[in-house]
Parts: sequence; structure tokens; C-alpha cells
Amino acid sequence: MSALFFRYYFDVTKYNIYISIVAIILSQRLFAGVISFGTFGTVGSFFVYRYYQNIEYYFYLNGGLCRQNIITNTLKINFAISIIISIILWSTR
Amino acid sequence: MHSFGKRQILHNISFTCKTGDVVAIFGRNGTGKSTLLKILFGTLRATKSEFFIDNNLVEKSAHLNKFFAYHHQEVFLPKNITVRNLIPLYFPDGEKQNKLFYDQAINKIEKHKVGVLSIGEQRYLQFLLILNSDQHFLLLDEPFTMLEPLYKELTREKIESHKHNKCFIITDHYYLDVLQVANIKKLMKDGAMMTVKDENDLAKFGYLSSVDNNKRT
Repeated sequence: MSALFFRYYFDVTKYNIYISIVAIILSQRLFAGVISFGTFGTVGSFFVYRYYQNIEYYFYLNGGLCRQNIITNTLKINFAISIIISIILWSTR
Repeated sequence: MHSFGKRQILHNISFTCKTGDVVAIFGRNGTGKSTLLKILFGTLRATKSEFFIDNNLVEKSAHLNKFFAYHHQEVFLPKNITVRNLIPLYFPDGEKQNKLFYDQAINKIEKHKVGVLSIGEQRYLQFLLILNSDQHFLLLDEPFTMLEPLYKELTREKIESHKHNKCFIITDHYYLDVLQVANIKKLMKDGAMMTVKDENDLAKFGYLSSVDNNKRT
């Protein structure tokens, strides 16, 4: 994966972190934030990115990336991170 | 062919562009110029369309951004990144990076974040990224808009110097700048496309009210 992709990834993930922090605050559970990060937080972050930075998709498309691929890869990475952190949290209980 | 609801924007549009060509597409607002470019770039699907590259039909599922680069009429660059960090994202190759960093306009703004640059500087930077991209077909939607005269001149020079290995399709209401660089001129009207020669034709077909004899650019 290219530096260009990770630029997109970190831009989107910034929103995901905010969403996950809100999930932790509302549920009072760290685990909820971790689950959020890998699931609806990621999906929500795509919507927020689309709302505020939709035009920037042209930046990535012109760089040779495919919109569908960068979204799918972001989902995969966040889901994997979420699973790993969940296992760590679960094993240290 | 492309429609928005019942309104047919484009119908029976056909043109060719080969290496070295600079195709100008003129047309009043709402005639479908940007729509056409978005269809070519693949971000908008036409109701019916066919693309041929080197006489081979391009499959509908193909990623057209492998062939086409698109200079959007709005600035699409991320704002919270410096020019110095932005350029390597597009061009990991040091030689290409240098080409951009040594550009007289980029040199003086490389330490700045994109978001603090003037719109003209952002648009010129965006143009340079597209110009130096690997794609063969460059779709330039309003490349001269909001540029200061010096940048306009640089833009025209760059198009001239890159056309030996690229094919440009340009649309912009700064028609005098476009006329200077284009060798193929088209006018879109009522969803169709016609060939024009000069400003007189643009006036004849209703794009201009009269020919500007002062020829300011």
C-alpha cells in the first residue's frame, strides 16, 4: 500500500477516532470504542469524510487509486486493528 | 449519451484525441462540458458510451483513471499538508519531484501548507500535479480560471511543452487562453458538439455576443 493510500487512511481515521471516543463516553466501556473503531465508526467516518472532504477523492483517483479499493482497504485495516486490540483487552482481563 | 432525469445533457457526442492534440471544448454554462469530462474520467456513468484507446474498446468496468487524469474545476488537494510533503505522495520518483520543486512558482511555496496558499497558487499546483501524472489523457476543467497572468502564461507554456507525449482536453471560459494552445476546437450546444475554428465561430454559434477585438487574456 502506498503513501498516498495512508494519507487517505489517516484522514478518514481521524474521524473514526472521534466517533470511537464518543462511543466510549456514551457506553462507559473501552471495549465499545474498540468495536466501534472496526465497524460503524469506520463506516461513519466515510460519511463524515464524504460530507467535509468529498472533493479530495479526486486527489486519490488522479493518483491512480480506486475509490472502492481505498474504502475497502480502510475497512479491512480497521477491522483487523479492532480484532487485535479486542483480543489483547480480553486476554488481559 | 447522458441524461439528468428527463433532461438529456449529451447526445451523439463523438471526438478523437491523439498524442500532441490539445482539444478545446467550449460551451455555455450547463451544456455538459464538465459532465463529459467526468464521464471520461469515470466518476460519472453515461447512459450509453464507448471509449476506444488505440482502437481498442475500453471495457465499462475498466478504471478510467489509469488512462485519464482530471483537473477538477474545484481544488481537490488536501489542505493540511505542506507542498513539500504533498508532491512526494504523487511522485515517489526523485527526478519527477525535482521537476516540480524547481518550478519557479512551486519553489517559493513549498514550505507552506496547501490550505494557506491563494486559490491561484492551489490551482496552479493542482495543474502541475495533473500535468506530470503518468496518465496519457489529461482532462483540464477550467485550468486558467482564477490564475494570475503570470501563472496563466506558465500554464500555456507547460501545455505546449508537454503535448508531445500527452493528449489534452480542455474546457474553460477564458477562451482566449484556450484558443492559443488548442489545435482542435469544439463547441457544445444543445447536447451536441460541433467543430469551430475561431472566435468568429464562437460568436456565430452564440457562445460569445461579439468578438473581443482587444484580445485580452
